[in-house]
Amino acid sequence: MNIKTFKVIFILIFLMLTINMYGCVSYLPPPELVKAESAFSNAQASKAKEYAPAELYEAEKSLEKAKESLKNKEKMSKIQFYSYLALRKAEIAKTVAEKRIAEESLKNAMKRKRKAVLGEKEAKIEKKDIEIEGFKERLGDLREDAALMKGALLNAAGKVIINPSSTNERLALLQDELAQKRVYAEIARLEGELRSGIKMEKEMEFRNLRKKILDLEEQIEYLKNKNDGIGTSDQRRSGGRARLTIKDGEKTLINNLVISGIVKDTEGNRCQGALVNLKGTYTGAVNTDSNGAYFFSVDEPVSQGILYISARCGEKTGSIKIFTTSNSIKGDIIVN
Amino acid sequence: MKNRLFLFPAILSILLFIGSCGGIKPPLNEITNAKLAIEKAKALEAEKLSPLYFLMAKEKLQGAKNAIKEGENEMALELAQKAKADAELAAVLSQKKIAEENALNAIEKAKGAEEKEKKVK
Repeated sequence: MNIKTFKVIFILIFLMLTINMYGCVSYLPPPELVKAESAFSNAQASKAKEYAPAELYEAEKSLEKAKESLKNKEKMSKIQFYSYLALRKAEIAKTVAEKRIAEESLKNAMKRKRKAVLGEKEAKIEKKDIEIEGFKERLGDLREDAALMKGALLNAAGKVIINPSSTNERLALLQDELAQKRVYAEIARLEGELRSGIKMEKEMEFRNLRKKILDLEEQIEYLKNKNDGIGTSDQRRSGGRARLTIKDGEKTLINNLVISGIVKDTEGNRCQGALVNLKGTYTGAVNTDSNGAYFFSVDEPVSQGILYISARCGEKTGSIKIFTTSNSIKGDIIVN
Repeated sequence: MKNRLFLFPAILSILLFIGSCGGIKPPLNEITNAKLAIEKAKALEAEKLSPLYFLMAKEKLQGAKNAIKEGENEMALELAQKAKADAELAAVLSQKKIAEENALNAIEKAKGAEEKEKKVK
C-alpha cells in the first residue's frame, strides 16, 4: 500500500464523519422545541410564577438546555429529548400551580364552613340561653307558689291533727304533704337538669324539660286547687271530709283516693292476711291486719266512677264494686 | 514511518465515531427512578385519573428496558428520563384532580353550612 492510497482512505473517513455529523443535525428548531416553548409560555402566563416558582424554574432550565443543544448543533434526537423534558416540566409547573390553587380554595371553603358551623352553634346557644332564662324565671315562680302552698298545707294539717275528725282525713293530709315534698324534690331535680342542660345542646332534652315543667305546673295548679279545698273545709267540716277534686275537661278527677274496709267470709269471720288490690292492677296490694281490716291509697288521680277491689284470703276470693264519689271510700269485701 | 503517520488519525477517528455512538453504561439508576415515579403515580390513582400519561410512562419504561437488552444504552437513558417525566406529570395531574374535587365538595358543604346558619339566625 502506498502513500496515495492512505491519503485516499483518510479523506474518505473524514468525509464520512462530516456527512454523518451534518446528517444528524438540523439548524431549524424541531416541532418538539416549539411545543416546549409554547407550553413554557402558557405556564408563565398562568399563576405558576406565584404558585409553582420552583417547578417553573426547572422548566425554564430544561428549555434553555434544549435551546442550547440546538445552538450547539447537537444531534436532532438530543434536541428532541431535551425539548420533550422541557415540555413535560412546563406542563408539570402549570399543573402544580393549578393543584395549589385548588388546595387553597379547599382551605378557604373549610374555613368558611367552620365559621358557618360556629355561627350556627352560637346562634343556637344564644336561643337556648334565652329559653333557659325563661325556664328559670318560671321555676322561680313555681318555687314561690310551692312554698306558699306548703305553708298552707301544713297549716291545714296542723288544724286537723289538733282536732282530728277522722283517721282517714289525717292520713289524707299527711299524704298531701308527702305529695308536696315530692313536687319539691322534682323541682330540685329539674333545676339540676336545667343547669346541666345549659351545657347540653340537644334540643330534645330541652323539649322534655319543658314538658316536665308544664306537667309540674299542672300538678302545682292541681295542688293549689286542692289547697283551696282544704281552706274551705273548715266551713264544711260537719259534712265530713272536703272533696279534693278538680275538673279535667269533662272528667272529674279524684286525687289521693284512700280505700279502706274489712275482708270477711260468708260466715262473718274476719280474714287476716288477705291480699287486697284494685282489680286488674298492682295498685293497693296490701294485706289485711289481725282484724281483717285493710286500707290503701291510690297515688294517681282517678276518674270519678266505678272501681273494682278484689281480695284473696287463702283459696277464697271476692270482689266489690265501689263508686269513687269522694277520696275516702269504705268497702267491706266478702270472700267465699 | 510515513504510512504509520496516516494510519494513526484514521484509527483515532474510527474509535471516536464508535465512542460517540454508544459508549455509556446501562442507565439502571434512571430506570429505577422512572419505576419509582410510576409507582408514586399509581399510588395517586394516576391509572384512573390521568391514564394517558400513565400509560405513556409505562410504555417508555418498557422501551427503555428493551433498549438495554439491545445494547442501546443511550436510547434507554432518554426513554427512562422521558418515562419519569411522564409519570411525574401523571402524578401531578392526579393530585390536581383530587384537590379540585375536594375543593368543590368543600365549597358545597360550606354553602350548606352557611344556609343553615342563616336559617338559625
